[in-house]
This record gives sequence, structure tokens and C-alpha cells, in this order.
Amino acid sequence: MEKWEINKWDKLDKENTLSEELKRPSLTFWADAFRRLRQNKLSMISLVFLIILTLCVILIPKFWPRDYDDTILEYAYIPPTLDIYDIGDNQYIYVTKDYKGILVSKSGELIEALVPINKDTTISLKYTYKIDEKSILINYGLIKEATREYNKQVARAKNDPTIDLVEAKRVLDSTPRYKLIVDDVEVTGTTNVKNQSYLLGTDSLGRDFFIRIIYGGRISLMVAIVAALVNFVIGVAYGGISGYFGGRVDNIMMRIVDTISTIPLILYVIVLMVVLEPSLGTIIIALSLTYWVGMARTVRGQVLSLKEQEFVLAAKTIGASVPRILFRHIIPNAMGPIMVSLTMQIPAAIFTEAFLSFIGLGVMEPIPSWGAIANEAYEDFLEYPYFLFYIALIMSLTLLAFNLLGDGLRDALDPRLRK
Amino acid sequence: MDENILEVKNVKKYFTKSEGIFGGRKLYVKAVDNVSFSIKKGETFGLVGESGCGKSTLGRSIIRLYDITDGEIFFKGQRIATGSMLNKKAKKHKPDKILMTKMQLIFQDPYASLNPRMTVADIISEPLFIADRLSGEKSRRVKRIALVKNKLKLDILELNKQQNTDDIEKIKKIKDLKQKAHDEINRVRAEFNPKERVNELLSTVGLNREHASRYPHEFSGGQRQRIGIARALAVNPEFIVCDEPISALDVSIQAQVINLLEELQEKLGLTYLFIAHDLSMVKHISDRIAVMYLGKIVEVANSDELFENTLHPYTKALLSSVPVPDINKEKLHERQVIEGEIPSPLNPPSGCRFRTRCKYATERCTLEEPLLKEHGEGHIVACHLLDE
Amino acid sequence: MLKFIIKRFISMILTLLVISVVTFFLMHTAPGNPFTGEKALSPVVMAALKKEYGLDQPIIIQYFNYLKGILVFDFGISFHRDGIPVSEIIQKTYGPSAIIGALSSVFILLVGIPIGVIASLKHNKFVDRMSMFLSIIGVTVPSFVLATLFLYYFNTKLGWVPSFGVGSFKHYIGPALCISVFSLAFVTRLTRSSMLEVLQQDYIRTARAKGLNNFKVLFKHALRNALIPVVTYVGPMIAGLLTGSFVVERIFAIPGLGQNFTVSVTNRDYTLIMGMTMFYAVFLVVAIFLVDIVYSLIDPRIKYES
Repeated sequence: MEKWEINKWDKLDKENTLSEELKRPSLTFWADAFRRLRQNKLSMISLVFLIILTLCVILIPKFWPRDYDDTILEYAYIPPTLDIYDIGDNQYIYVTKDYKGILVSKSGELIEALVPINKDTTISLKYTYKIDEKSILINYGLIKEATREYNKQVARAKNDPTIDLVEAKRVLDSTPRYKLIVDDVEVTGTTNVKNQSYLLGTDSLGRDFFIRIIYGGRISLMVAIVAALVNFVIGVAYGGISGYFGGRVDNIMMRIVDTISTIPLILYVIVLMVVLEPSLGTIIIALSLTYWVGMARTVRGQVLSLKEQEFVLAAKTIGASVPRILFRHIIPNAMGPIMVSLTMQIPAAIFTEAFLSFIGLGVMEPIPSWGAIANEAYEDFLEYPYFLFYIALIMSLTLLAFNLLGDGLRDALDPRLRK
Repeated sequence: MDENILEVKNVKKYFTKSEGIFGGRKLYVKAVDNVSFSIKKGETFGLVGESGCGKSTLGRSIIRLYDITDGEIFFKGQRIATGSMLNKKAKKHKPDKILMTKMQLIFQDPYASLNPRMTVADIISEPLFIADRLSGEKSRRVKRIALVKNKLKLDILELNKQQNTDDIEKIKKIKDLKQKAHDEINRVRAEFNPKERVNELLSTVGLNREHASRYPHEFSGGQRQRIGIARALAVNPEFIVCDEPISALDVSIQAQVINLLEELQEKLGLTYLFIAHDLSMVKHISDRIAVMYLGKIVEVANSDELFENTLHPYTKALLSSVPVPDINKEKLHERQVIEGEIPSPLNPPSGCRFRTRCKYATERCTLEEPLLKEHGEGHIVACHLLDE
Repeated sequence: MLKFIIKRFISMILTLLVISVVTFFLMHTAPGNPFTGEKALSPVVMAALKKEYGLDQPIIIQYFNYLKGILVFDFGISFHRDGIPVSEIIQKTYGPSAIIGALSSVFILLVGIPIGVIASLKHNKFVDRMSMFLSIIGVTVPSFVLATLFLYYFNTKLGWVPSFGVGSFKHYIGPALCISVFSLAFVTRLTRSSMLEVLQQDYIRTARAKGLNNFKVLFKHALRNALIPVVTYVGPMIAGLLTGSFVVERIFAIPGLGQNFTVSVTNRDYTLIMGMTMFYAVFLVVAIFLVDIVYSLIDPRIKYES
């Protein structure tokens, strides 16, 4: 028989009870939620994207050579990729949309806008330049001539049936818009290079489009985050008071909120912006004063359901003061829906700001915001579609990222999914 | 002479159901309707009744989670609550907060009574922090620390003024002074040591110090209830209302918790108001028991007396439902089934509230409400039938 | 039931009053009046005009006059378009917006709800995931991007639709589509999540156990209950659609309410802005009121809530 040190029927000491041992490491509520969030791939990608975006928006303007309002009119509308002409002596020329010449490097760097020694903008439409010993001519009057020729043919055709109008039209249509002539020799072949000076090209005033988008991101994000935070503070205070005190106070406060939010909040924002002249500050004010109602509703709902919970009652019995109960017990437990609401406020604010800019109530020139940039891009869309493409891409991705993150947060913080 | 640690006099708690449109009739839920009793220091006073009879409401009203509608409550001889709703002239009472900390509550639901975002240490030490502030200890400490800091400043100034000591000496002395002040401040701070107390409380309830840094969701129901008990004990209460503390626990754990409560009562000299609906458990732990029905107390007696000499028809029916752990007796045990539905507390029956379900109801029971009368030592009953 | 309707009606009126007060007083803090236009008027003429239109009276009286005016659909005169009554402007531009709104409402209901239902039935399968993915995109991509893209492809590249104005039915396709996308995505998601929740309920299981065929279960039991939150959203949605979208109308050059509003904002035409806001508000609030009534008809619980 084995030797037993302990008599089987002796009562176990407290030290011997294994039941009190805890096996798993302790996880706070947030750690647990974050773990769940990590498993949601889309949300994590969104989170990473947003972090990178924020870093870019903060850091890039610090070392970027150009500012958002560096205007060089001669450089207007230069695209991100250039077709450049080799004019010999290792010099290259780019012809702008309004037929002016720009000296560029072989790799695509813009060196300088050429100053014409002779301009003919009325009759034969050409610009004449001189670099070193070379004379350069850009003739953009070809279409005008060709049209005149065509019209002559049309007039002649009325009497002379042998004239082939279809052929004449073809000739007209195939006329190039300009010719580049260097030292009396036409230069035709172009090489396509990336624009080394302006990553995404320039806008209508020759400003760096890329840095404008980055800066615009700064403004849009800043407006959205500040507005969201103010909404958070107002909403939590309002909802907290309304929910905690309940009864008549709650009734009245919620009535007010209901009345306000019957009408789409954008309308209030617009009306406010019309009254206060648009500027960065007033946009933030207008957004903050209206969107808090959503947060207030959420918080009030949470507080209402939490304040009857037994741990809140327990806090009362141990003598906790009202602020202590609210800030140490109720609000921390309501953080889930609050965080989700906060995350969703930000894209709403970006969207609203863009909308305001679109109808002319946004930030004023020259400060860019994504909405303002989109507005400009839209106006140039038919001729330069890439503007709208870039701004739409970055905006949509950002909004998408916030929405996905918010969705993921909502799922991760759902207490029903707790293990 | 046993002093009464708690006295409940004519307490009513009504909840307003509807305000009535344009000043119409107000409807009340009469959860507690004119209840009076006293509890002696050191005893366990049981309170039983079916669900909805108002016992939880009464418990919570005593501890002032609710304001009572009418009547008075005295704790340790001091008035702590007055009815304010019906009696418009009586001012709403604000009792001494420190006195109130001597009265604690243990909740029924171990899963809901602990803040899921706080660690066990936070939960148990919270009453200590509150008491520290309420009693003025904290501000006294803060003042003392400020004094020490002030003195340090002055001493340094003095020292710097001295012409005859050289700089190296001065620096050394300043360092000394700073060190001394630092030590003094730490000593003062250490006077408030919640961590020690938390560990003490944890071992009192049968948990250990490793548990302090964990979160409630990592514990079982029984353990959580212990944490709740530890929290209640934190500020050395004298009176604890136990609101069905074991109803939500597994049967095997229930006994453990009850044993703990009894141990604590003996060790710390506590008085309990034990609210439950499990009669056999109540009999085990209580010295006296009160039976409630629809907001009123119908019978009060010593534990044994209540079971052996049951007088009120309702109590009789209640007790008959308790199984007896003896096959032979159980076979002979005649169960009394209470007929009918429990009436709504919005509109309780006139006269004796139990009359609608009572086998023995007479006409008098409809007209006149029976008062609690003594029928034996310490045994009071409210029933007309006993008058004969 | 009647009490319910009366209560809702009263709160509707109250809401409108509050909105009118807010907008009115906001507008009056802005500088200028309808007559500080291009031409400079002599003070005498100005004073006479002000008297004529009641602009010299204390602001409270002006407000009440305004209210009185609303009841007969008189919203005052446009600041910018000398002397033309606001109500006339609204009347003229209302048509195109309404048509676009009606088209898109129908489109959304006929497409969004069925897709939402199907997605919920094939939960987590390809159809579901695809439609959810598309609807997330629909909710995030801004409407002006969509509208511009639409024009680019269908007008510039393919030439299928005209690019501006109103005239034929073709003119309305683009605007209606673009204006619908956001709400379509929303309705689809809403229907789907609502259906998912309803389908899990016990009473559905009971119906199936009873032997009802799936179709009947779907239509008779599940859909009716699932559509309740959708109805809540759709009411105000329709009101919003019918009054036109600023952005889409601007891009497609539709002479509708939305564009009018944009123009009035740019011109700081305060009376017009106010009038249109009130018009929009009335529309919306009435729509919500009607939705509430429909609500109480389909959900018997609502009637008994205080």
C-alpha cells in the first residue's frame, strides 16, 4: 500500500485547493477586444492604411520642396507623365497645353519655362524661342489654317463636284495641333517620361498637385477629427446627463434632440455656413454644433441601460459621488458603442466638408481641402480627367478605411461575442 | 439589553406608475406598504416572501438606494431616512455619509454586481478610497505633505542665505534635507495603504492575493460573490443587507458562501438582514424571520418558533412547500397549495391582502385590515382568525 | 389609435415651428436685405420699400408675418432675383427633382429590398458577400465621383446618354442612378441585417415546423417584420430624394430644386434659402409623419406605447 502523508478525510487547507488557481493570463477588456479586432483582416488593413495616411499627412509637408500654394503660372496643367522632344545638345522640350515651351531634362525634370522672344497670338499663332544659338518655333496655327483651307474647299465644292469633301475633312481632322521646329527642322518623335518635378503633375495654377492632396488630407482629417472630438465631448456630456438623471430631464433633453435631428444635419451645416462666412474655423464650429446629436443618443441609451446595473447600485451603496459613478463606472462601460460612433463620425465629417466645398461653402483659397480639390478637379474633368481620379481615389479609400474599421470595431466590442 | 441597530417605522415605498393626464388619478405600485420592525445588534433577521412581495425593495430602501415614500428609518439610533413623497412637509433627509458606510449591501447577481472594467483590487479598494476622502483623512494627509514641502522650501532658502558655510557643504545639506522630506512624505502617504487592506480582505473571504490583479470575468459565480462580500466588508460595516446572495449560485457553492457569512458574522460582530425565498436556508441562518406578502409583513417570529408554531395561513402554505429530507415524514407531508394568482400591487385587495387566496377568509377579512398582534413571545401575526 | 395620430401630428407641427424659428433668426443675423442688390437705392426709396414689405417692423412681428405667409405658401421674395416670389421659383424648379426622386425611389425599392432578402437567405455565400462588398463601396464613394465617372463613361466615351439638362427620359437615367447609389446600398444592408435577425427568431422556426412552405414563411411572416426598420429609413429617404440632390443636379445640369438651392447659397439669397429649407423641412416632416402612421398599422405594438 502507498504511504499517504495526508489522511484522505482531513479537510483540505486553503493552500491545497487548486480551484482558486487561474490558468490564463489576465486580459483587460480592451486587450480582448483588440485581439478580436486583429483577426478581422479588413479592419486591420484599414487601420494600417489610416496610420500610414496620418503619418504621411503630418510628415511629408515638412520636407517636401514645395508648398501647397507655390504658384507658377507657366507650369499650369502639366501632367504626371510628359512627352518630351529631343532638340539636340542634350536639351529637351515639353510643349504645354497652351503651346508654350518648357525646358526639361532628359529624365523629366522641369528646368525652366521658356520666355518667347517673339509671340504671335493673333495671325499665324506661333511662339519663337532662342536657347543658346538654337531658334525654336512652336507653330500652333495649323488647325486655323487647315480649317480655312477646308472652308475654302467647301465653298468651291458648291460649284465643282470633283472636289472630294470627305477627303478634305480627313485632311482637316488629321492636322496636328502644333508643330515644333528647331533650327528650321521639324522635330517629331517624343519620349514619354515621368514628371520628376511634380509627382502628380500641376493644377490650374501650376501648383504641385501631390502636395496639395497631402495638405488637403491634413486639413480634411484635422477638421474631421477635431469636429468628432468636440462632438464626443458634447455628446457624452449631454447624453450622460440626460441618461443619468432620467425622468423629466431626460424627456425634455431627448425631445430637443429628436426635433433637431428630424432634419438632415447637413441642412443645418449649410445654413450655419451661410451665416458665418466659410473658413476653417467656422466649418469646425458648424460641424461640432450639429453632429453631436448622434453621439448624445448613443451615450444616453448606454447610460440608461447601465445605470440600473447592479455594479452601479453597488457603487452607490459604498458612497460613491455622482461624478465618480459617471466617470469611473458608467462611461468606461459604455466606451464600446462610443468608440464605434466616434470612428463613424470622422468619415461623415470628411464627406460633409467635401460636400460643402462642392457647393462653395468650404475652406477658402488657397488652402486646399479634399473637397476643394475635388471641386477644382471636377471642373477640369473633361480635359484632365486624372485630377478627379486621384482625389476620388484617395478620398474613397480613406472613407472606406474608416467605415471598415468602424464596422470591425463594432464587431470586436460586441459583448455578446465574449468568450 | 440588546440595542436595536436598525428600526423601521411605518415605511412605505410607492412607485408612481402613471402621472395621470392633466391631473387625473395617479397610479401607484405599492411595493412596500406600511412596514415596521426592528433588528437587534448581532442578530440575523430573515425576510421571506414570494417574488414581487417587496422584500428586495424594502432592503434597498433601508440602505437608501431608494428614497422612501413615507415613514422613518433609524440606524444606530440616528434617523437616516424620512418619507418625502406623501408627506410633503417633511424635508428630504440627507444622512451622514460616514454613518451610511457602516451599512452595506450584498447583491444577488454576482455577474452584474462587479464592474467588468475594474480589477478585483480596484473593486475592493474603491470603498476605502471613498471613505478616505469622506472622513477627511485624505485632505489631512495632503495638508501635512504640503506643510513638509513648504518647510523644505523655507529651510533651503535659509541655508542659501548663510554666508559662512561653503558651497559643497550647502549642497550636501540640501541633499540631506530633501531626502528627509522625501522620506517624511512617503511615510505620510503610506498611512493610507489600501493594498494591504485588500489582501487582508481577500484572505478573509477565502481568496488570495494573486486574484487582486484579475478581472471579474475570470472568476466563477461563487468567487465573484466572495469579491462582493469583500467589497462590502472593506470599510468595517456593522450592518449588512444580504439581498438573496446565494440565489444565483450553484447549490454546491451556496453552502460555502453561507458558511463564510456565518463565520464573518461571528468574527466581526455583524448584523444581517437576510432576504431570500429559500425557506430552509433562511431557517438555518436566521435568528428571527419576517414573512412578507404584497408589501406587508404578515408574521414575525424566532426561527424555530416560526416553523414549529406557524400561525398565519400564508406562512403555513409557504412552509408546507419546503421538502423534508426524511422519506417517511415527507410521505405524510401534506402540501397546501395556494390557489389563485397574486394580485397586482397596483390595486391590492381591501382589508387583508391575502384574503383572495386564503382558504379561511371571512367577511371581516374583506372589510378590515388585520394589524400585527403579539401571539406568544416575540411572535407577531396579522390575521383576524387568531383573534378568536 | 386616434390619440396616437394626434400626438404625432402635434409633434410634427412643433418640429416645424422650431425649424422655422431657427432658420428665420439665423437668416436675420446675416447682413443685407432683398433690396441691397446691384443697384444702389436712395434711402427714401429703401425706406418705402421696406415699409411695403414689412421689413421695418420688429423682428418678432416679422417672424409672425412670415409664419402667416407660410400657411398660404408665401415664402417671401428672393433677394437675388429682384422681386420674384420664392414660392414661384420653387414651383418652377420642382418638377425635374421630383421626377428624378420618384424614379430613384422606385429603383431603390425594387432592387434594394429583393437583393437584401436574397443576401440574407444565402448568408455568407458568394451572393451575400458580393452584395455587401458592393454596398460598402456604395456607401463610401462620394456621389460627385460617381456622377462624374458615369458621365465620363456613358456620355463621353460611349455617348449613350445626354450630358445635361432635361428633356427625354434618357436625361433622367444618369441622375436617378447616381442619386440612388448611397440609399440603395443602405437599404440593401438594412434589409439584409433585419431579415437575418428575423429569420433567427423562434416564430419562424415554428412556422417552418408547422409545414408551411418556405415562400409563405418568407412573405407572410418574416418579411413583414423585417421591413419595419426599412420603412423607418425609406420614408425620410423618399422625401430627401424627391427634393433633389445638390451635387448630382449640378453635375448633370438639371434645373431642379437642388441646383436652385446651390445657386441661392452661392448668391447668399437668404429668403430663397430659407424658403427652400422650410419647404424641404415640411416635406420631410410630413413624410416621417406618414411613415409613423404606416408603422402603427403594421406593428401593433406601436399603438399601445405611450
